[in-house]
Amino acid sequence: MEAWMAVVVGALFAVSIYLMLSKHIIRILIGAAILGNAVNLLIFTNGRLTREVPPIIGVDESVLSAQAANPLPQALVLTAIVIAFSFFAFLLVLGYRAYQELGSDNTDEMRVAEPVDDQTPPLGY
Amino acid sequence: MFGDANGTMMFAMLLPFLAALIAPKLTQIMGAKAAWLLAIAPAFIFLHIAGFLPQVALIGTSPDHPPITGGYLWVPEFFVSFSWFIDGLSSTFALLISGIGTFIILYAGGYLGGHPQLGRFFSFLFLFMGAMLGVVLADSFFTFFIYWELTSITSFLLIGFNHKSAASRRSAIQALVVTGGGGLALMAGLIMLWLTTGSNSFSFMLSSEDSIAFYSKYLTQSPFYLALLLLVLGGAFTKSAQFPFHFWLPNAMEAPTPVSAYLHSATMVKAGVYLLMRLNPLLGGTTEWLTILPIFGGATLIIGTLLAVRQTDLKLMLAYTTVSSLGLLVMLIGFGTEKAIAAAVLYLVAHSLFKGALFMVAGIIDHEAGTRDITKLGGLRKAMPITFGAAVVAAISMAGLPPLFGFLAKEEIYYALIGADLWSIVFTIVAIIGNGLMFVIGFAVALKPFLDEKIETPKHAHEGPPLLWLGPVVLGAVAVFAGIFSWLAHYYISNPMSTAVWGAIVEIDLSLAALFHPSLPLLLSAITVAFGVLAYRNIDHLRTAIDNFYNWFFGGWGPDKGFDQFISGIVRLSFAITRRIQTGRLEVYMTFTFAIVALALFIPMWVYGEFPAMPDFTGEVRFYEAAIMAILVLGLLAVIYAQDRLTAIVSLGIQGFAVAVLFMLFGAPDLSFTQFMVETLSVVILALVMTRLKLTAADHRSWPQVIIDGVIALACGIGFMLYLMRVTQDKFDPYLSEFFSAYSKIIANGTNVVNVILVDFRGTDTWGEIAVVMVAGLAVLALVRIRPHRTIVADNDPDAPVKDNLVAKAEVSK
Repeated sequence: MEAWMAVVVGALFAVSIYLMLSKHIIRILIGAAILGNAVNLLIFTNGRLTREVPPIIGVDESVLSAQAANPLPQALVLTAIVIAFSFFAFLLVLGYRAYQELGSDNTDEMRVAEPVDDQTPPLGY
Repeated sequence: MFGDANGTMMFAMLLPFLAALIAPKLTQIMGAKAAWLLAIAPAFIFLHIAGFLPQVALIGTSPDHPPITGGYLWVPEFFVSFSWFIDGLSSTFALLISGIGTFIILYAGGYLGGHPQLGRFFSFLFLFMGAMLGVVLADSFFTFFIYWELTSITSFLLIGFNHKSAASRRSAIQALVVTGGGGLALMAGLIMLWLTTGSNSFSFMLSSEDSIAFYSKYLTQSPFYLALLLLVLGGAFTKSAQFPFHFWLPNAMEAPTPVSAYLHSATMVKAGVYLLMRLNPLLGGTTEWLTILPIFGGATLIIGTLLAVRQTDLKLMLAYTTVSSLGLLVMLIGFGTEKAIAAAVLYLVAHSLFKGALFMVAGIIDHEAGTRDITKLGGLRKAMPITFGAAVVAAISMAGLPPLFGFLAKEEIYYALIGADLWSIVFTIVAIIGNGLMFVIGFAVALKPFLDEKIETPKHAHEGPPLLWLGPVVLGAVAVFAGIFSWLAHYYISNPMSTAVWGAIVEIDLSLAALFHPSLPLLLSAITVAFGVLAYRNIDHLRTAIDNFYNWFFGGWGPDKGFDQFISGIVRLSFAITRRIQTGRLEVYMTFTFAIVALALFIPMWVYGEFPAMPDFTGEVRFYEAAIMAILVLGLLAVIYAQDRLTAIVSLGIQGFAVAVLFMLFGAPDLSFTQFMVETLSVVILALVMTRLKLTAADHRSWPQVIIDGVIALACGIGFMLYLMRVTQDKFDPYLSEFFSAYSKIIANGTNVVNVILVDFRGTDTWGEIAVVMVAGLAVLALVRIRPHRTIVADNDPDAPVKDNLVAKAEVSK
């Protein structure tokens, strides 16, 4: 089961990285969104997979049943999903504003901070 | 606290920093008169150190009198302590620093009286004073090094005090680069010294003659001796302006004269000499030491004096003779005999007294007459009688004439150098030429502006206020006193200091009585004087001759120009490298990042042979699980192959929901709900925002680009896949999961373990997470609210052309 999940995680990583290597911000954005899923599934699978039973302690029990899923990766991933979403929202607005200001979604044309014809800094004092 | 530590010593060492703190406020209230009050601080330190002298004079005479140490533990884990160490060498230096410092503070009050930034100037001077005291009193290598670097930094601040002048800025940076670079070498040297000996305190190694003998033998026979020596010399030679690092010192004369008198003649530049003297018992006496030091010192002596004669600016003349004096000191230390060490000690003290005084005199002349070009000065003796008197006394000491302390120093030098072998003869001749030319400069500075016929100066010259002339007069008087009552000076100053430098008891008995006993050194002194008088009478010819030779030989190039070329070369090199690795294209950065990620995944697995075993794909996978996984992968492929962005966005949603279902299937309903919401929001916002823009429809990558990107992406993907397979094939360690399972209900009273972890066990993490979300939200808000196509620049934009501001102001006034 974990082996199949590993293949899926590999596919997620490969696709997200391929998208992020693009010049266009929309593709980079989509790639970043997929990267979040890839990492989350990676952490989730690292904690081993068990079917169906959520990590909730029964009314009459004091500890989890043996069939219950591992709670630790779930707690980590829950945090990661929320943070990934915040960053995605920020990146999205950043890309949108950059397009408005610079009139391009091509990162090669976004050269405000590192202009193509950068001058040599002063050589003396 | 340990050793003979007491709070007063700690207070004395921190007092200059305290004074630096209050000086600006005090100057604001009292103006230049604050100098009188501020001078109490160094005077107190002087008296405090002087109180140790009876004890210091006995150090080494018997085992009951070891050097005085004390201090506090600072970082005991790393054997770092804040500790001090007083022997003859430290006490003499500390007395010079605090004694001359007292008069420099007074002098600065007179010299820069009314200057709007006088308070800041005092502050810098006190910072330097504290740092320099720390250098000479520090026991641990670490405190020594920190203070050493602090002197470089305060020197930078003081040279660049007049920061509106480009020349000042250049000189300040030059001094910082040269001395700071040397400081790095010194740090390496000190660390090597520490690692080689296992001790990081001077006092431990220098505590007794036995200990010195042990460590000296150990160090000089170490295979790292040469490297260690060269690194330490790198620090000492740059700080003490030895050829070929001498060029920063004359340039440092851009600083106000009190700085030149204090840092760049009497104290800071002697830090290198101090270091060599301090380490002489440990590192000295080897062939390397006895060869490198005299050669560089001798070369510096000759070059310094020749260049000094070439100058017409009073301060530059003195600056070059300082270079040559430092050369003489290094040469003497490198001669490695008891007499040579004694001579170095006498000369060091004499030099600090007369050079400090002469610099102050040069400053008074500049201050009162408005110029310090020697060819434009003359006949000031009537207008400035006190200054003239102080100048002559200092010049007599510099020339090495009786009855001043300088005479004793020069006699001792000749006693030390005389010998029948070629080496001694060469260096005796070097010393005679150097001393003769210093004689010339001394009298040129002290006599030429005052004697001869009167020349009209830019300002009408008259005697300066007591604040100005007090320093030179007192320093001159001390030199006379030390010359006449030489046994007293020897007992408290010269003997203990020589003992500390030599590593065994040294007794100096040279006094003015030497005048009445014909000897070879006396004859050499006479030759020096004759040579000096001859050269003084022909100083103008000499100047022209040296100038012509210099221009012919170097053709306008020198180490100073070389420094500029070095700096511009470094800037060009860094710019060229930056252009190559920071191309400004995001895709290049991304490509490199992910290529390295792929390598980071594969190389450790390959090196440690940790590739996963062939996994068992036949293991049970239920039909619906396989279906969801397939939908996920199809969604991914659709994202890549989508011809327009709306399709891509919707496909993004497909894979996101597939992930949510997977979470659900594997027992994580909380994750599933969150994922559903987040994916829905992402898709909706993305569709709303991105479909409004006229974006390039599809991803146009050239075929080679597709192959490169594809290979990197696949490599990363396969890497993560193999990594995950490898991890899941290992035995699972349920320690933490069992901990949470066991205590969630019992301690935290929650049944949903995931929730309990988030809000109870790891509550602070969740709080941090909320903070991240909030910051992201604020950033989004800020980005949305900035109106497009409007650049907002503050009124005080430093890059804005000045003209525009003036025009704008004129428009406002209309």
